[in-house]
Amino acid sequence: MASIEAHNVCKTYPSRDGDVVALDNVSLKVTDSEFVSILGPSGCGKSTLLRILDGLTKADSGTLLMDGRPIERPTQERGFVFQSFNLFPWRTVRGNIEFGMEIKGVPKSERHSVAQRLVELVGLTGFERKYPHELSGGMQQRVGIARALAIDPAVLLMDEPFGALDAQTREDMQDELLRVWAAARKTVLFVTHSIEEAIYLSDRVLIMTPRPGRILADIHVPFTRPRSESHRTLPEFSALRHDIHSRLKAVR
Amino acid sequence: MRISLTRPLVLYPVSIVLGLGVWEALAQVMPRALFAPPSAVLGRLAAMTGDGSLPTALLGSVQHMLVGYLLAALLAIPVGIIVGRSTAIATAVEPILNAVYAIPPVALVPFFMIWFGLYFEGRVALVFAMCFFEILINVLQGVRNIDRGLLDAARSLDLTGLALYRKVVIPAASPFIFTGLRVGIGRAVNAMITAELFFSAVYLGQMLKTSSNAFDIASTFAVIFVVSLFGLACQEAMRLAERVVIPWHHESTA
Repeated sequence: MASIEAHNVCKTYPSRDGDVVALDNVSLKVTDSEFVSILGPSGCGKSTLLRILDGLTKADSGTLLMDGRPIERPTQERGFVFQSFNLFPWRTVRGNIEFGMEIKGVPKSERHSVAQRLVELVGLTGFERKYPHELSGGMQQRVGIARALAIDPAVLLMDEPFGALDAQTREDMQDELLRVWAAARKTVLFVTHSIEEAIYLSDRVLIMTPRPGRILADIHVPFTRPRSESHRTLPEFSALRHDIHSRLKAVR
Repeated sequence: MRISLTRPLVLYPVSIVLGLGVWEALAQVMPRALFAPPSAVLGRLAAMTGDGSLPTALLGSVQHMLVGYLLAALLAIPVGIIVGRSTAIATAVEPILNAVYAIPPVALVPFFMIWFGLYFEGRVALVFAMCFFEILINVLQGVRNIDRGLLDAARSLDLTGLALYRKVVIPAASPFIFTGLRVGIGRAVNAMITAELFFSAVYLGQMLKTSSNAFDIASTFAVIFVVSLFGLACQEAMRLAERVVIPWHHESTA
């Protein structure tokens, strides 16, 4: 069981028009097996926050903890899923999924069986030997998710993973992700700028505002699981969407 | 099915026949001492191949060409990777590299003669000098063009140190590395003959010199023809190697 937390994280980027405060005293905590979304417009620092939590980007100040221990650099305790997939084009689907296990020195036979199980879990059976460029965007991100899950991380960090996909594929992938999450029981921190996506997937939604990047609200999503299409049409779902929408609009 | 005129299978033979036609026509109006028709060149080519002189010379030339090329590749690839990955090293080293690159390698021949002598080592040095930078520049470009997202993905999976180079940097830069190797081998063939003309005349270079001194234009053309064909073959071989070694790249850009 894993929890991940940030306390008073600050990050400033230098730019031509002076310093941009990407994150201003941001704190958050995600507890075990929780699915939490960070929702905000582009440029609010939500991706920076996620990268800092993985260790890909250094914070200027603040404390980052995973299960109470400080986070200093990326490790295999956390898996990262990128918006632009970032699959290794010279590796097949299986080769990409096995990458993290290779680094860890997992024996070949075990790598194969884990990869095979994940290929089935994300619905890529029959595509194991394909290269990324032979796959559609949705399928590439299934590989991206499987690659992150293959190292069996306790926490999954997802940076707008469905942002590059068309609307229909996006909704399919949301259902896929919930199914995978239910099977793998990971703690998930999910960055998105889609209000509907955040509500549909999450237990909690953290609303972020830009310049300076701050967390404006922490909203509990009351809907039961497993979630399905019918949740999207509930009056409470629309009410929550309107509520979040107006809060975001108020600060812009 | 209609066969389009622009298809390579149709266009290549047509272009070759047309080229030979123009060449033959030109030869009819030019004095024999200055220009040889394709028929005469092909005749000399057959004769020089038959008596073994041309294949022997080519085999001799290939030695310093290959040694110089391989040394250049073996040095340019790691140097390119190191300089390409480090902004600090690049800032310090690049002005020097660019300054040396600006020197025509042939201008260095007198020094190479003093340092390496008139024979094999001197020729190898010139071949090296003529293809090292072509390879280096492409490798550098390849390493600098690596998608930052791929490096992020590797880091997020806790890949560091030498393994990062082996598993990500080199494969990611490999299309550019192959471009460098292909451009470089073309230059190496070029340098192979240049070396034989500027140092002591041997092999194909010697054949070029003696035949042109004797106004045996057909033989000169025959040697040039072989050099050109050999250069083409080398580059095609590199293209083929690229398709075999990094098939994912060829397919993704086709």
